[in-house]
Amino acid sequence: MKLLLVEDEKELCKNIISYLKEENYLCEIAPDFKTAISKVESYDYDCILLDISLPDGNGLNVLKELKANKKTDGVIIISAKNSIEDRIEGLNMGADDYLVKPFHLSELRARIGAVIRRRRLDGNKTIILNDLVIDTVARTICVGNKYLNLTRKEYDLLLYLGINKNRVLTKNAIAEHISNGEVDLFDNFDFLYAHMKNLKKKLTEAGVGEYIKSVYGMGYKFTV
Amino acid sequence: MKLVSKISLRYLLFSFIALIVSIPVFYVILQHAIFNSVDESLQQHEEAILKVLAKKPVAQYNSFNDNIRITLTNQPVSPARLSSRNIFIQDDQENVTYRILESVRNVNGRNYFIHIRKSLIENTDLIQSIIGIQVGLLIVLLTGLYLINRSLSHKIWKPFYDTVGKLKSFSINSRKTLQLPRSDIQEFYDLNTSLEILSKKAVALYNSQKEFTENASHELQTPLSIILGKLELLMQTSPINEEQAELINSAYNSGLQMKKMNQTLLLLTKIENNQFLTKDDIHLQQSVKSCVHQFEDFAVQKNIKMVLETKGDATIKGNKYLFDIMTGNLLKNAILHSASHSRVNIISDNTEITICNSAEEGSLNKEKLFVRFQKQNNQKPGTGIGLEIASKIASIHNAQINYQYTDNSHCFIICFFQKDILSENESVSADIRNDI
Repeated sequence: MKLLLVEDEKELCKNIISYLKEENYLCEIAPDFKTAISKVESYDYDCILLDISLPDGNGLNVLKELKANKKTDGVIIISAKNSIEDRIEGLNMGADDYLVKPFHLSELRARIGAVIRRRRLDGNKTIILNDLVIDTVARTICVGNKYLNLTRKEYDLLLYLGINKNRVLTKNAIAEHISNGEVDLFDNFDFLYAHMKNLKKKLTEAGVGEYIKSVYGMGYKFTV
Repeated sequence: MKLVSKISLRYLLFSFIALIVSIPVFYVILQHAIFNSVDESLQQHEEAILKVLAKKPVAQYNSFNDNIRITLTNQPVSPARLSSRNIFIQDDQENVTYRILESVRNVNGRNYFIHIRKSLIENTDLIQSIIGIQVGLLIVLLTGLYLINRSLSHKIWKPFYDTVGKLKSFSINSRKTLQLPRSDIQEFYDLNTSLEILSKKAVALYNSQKEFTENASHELQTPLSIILGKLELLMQTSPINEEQAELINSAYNSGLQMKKMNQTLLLLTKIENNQFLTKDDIHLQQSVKSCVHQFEDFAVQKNIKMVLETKGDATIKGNKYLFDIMTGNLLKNAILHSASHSRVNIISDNTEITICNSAEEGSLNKEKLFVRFQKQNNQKPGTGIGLEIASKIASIHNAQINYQYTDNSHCFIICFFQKDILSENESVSADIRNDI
């Protein structure tokens, strides 16, 4: 997997690369518009993380260039701008996703995963975590040949944890992911605990090992 | 009271007092002048009589003229005494004021009592007509003054009223400075130029303040991203003991809070900058319904029953995204601030959206309600900007959010002004959600 990171902020690049290092992704960095254009012209990437405001140009032009050359690289726009117009503009130009800074690294990981899965040509859209098989098209999870009977939220939860496997996920990041960003509504994470409890119960009933572990004070971890 | 009427009233009052005082004074002076002249003529008359009396007998005077009476007397000689007296005239059946001169004179060794009188009736008439004319003139003068004043004030004060009108419609966040017409009256010219300068300064200040908020929030995003990312990475390291986990977690949560605050501030600035230009048709009842639907999960979580009642079917012009934020913020607050197992009532009709939730601690402070960072309860999460955003959005949509405290519940009412409602239909439906 080849990833291009078009981002002028060095530390942010470091964060992303360091979080993704467990996947065997090949990450390249383009710190400015010029480098980005030349890299995009010469190579194909599975996913491009594109910052819009670059020191020497608008990131959206990189996207234009891609589309003009009929390239099919997956593109996730990473922007500090959080307006519906920018979002629509980016998506209309052919970006696959739009992520607003600051974001949870785990969220970015999940989005990258989704983009890469969507673009896979071999039609393999499943994620296999030991004995768990997640079909991302049918949105089902089976253990062996038995389907787990999960609610929409529980599926989202398990997918999110699974794709960020072996990493500590904060309660906030998980809550934000499964509630579409409206976490501040809750005085506590009771709803998350409730979903988590149900999910764990269903997994145990299906005879799957204890993959989900709570990490004291911070959150949860899906260990494979 | 208008300045003009205030000034005019002073003028009128002064004129009235002057008139009241001047008329008797004028009368007295005039009368005095008349008495003087009459007295003089009486004295001349007496002298003439005395001259004639030395040569001719008395009888002639008395017989022809009842205004002169000369009789022989034993009284000692006395100088002329002048007095006024009312005398009843039999022929005319009326009292007439006379000026009378009485004296005792010695002519040719005999003492004569001389009585000369002169009717003042003509003079009184004269005084009356003079005063009448004076009063008439004064009234004409005053009315004239008043009318001129009024019509002039309309013309002269016109630039002033124009300026006031422009000031009233001046809005600091419209980004336009005040444009006032030039006046050839010095005071208004000064007023307008100072106002223009003031408005320019205010707009510049406002803009720079807004820019600051915008830039600050924007610039904060990057370091904040880095901090949050580093903390997330830090969590992945091992080993981490409980103490460290606690520290990382609390730093992380504060960072998230800051991120939320920042994004809300950015949204607020954008609303204030009128950066939301798209206008959609918003179906009031439908939008409210979908908003309520969106918050169902949270309501379930707190065991809160949401009761939605929709009446009619109205469409307004506005920005759908912002509209949802507004309704969402109010709903969010209602759910957040009501006790579990209570009810949140939402009523949406063609002119209003009412969101009520049970109150735990009495009425909220109305003045501080829609002001930034005025959290009424520090225990609850939230940035303290939600209501301000909602009220800003409402004002963009020509609506207003009112707060009422009735029957132990907080009610927030979004009132839409009728003219913006594009279409209306009457139909009632009630929708009870989360009936747990």
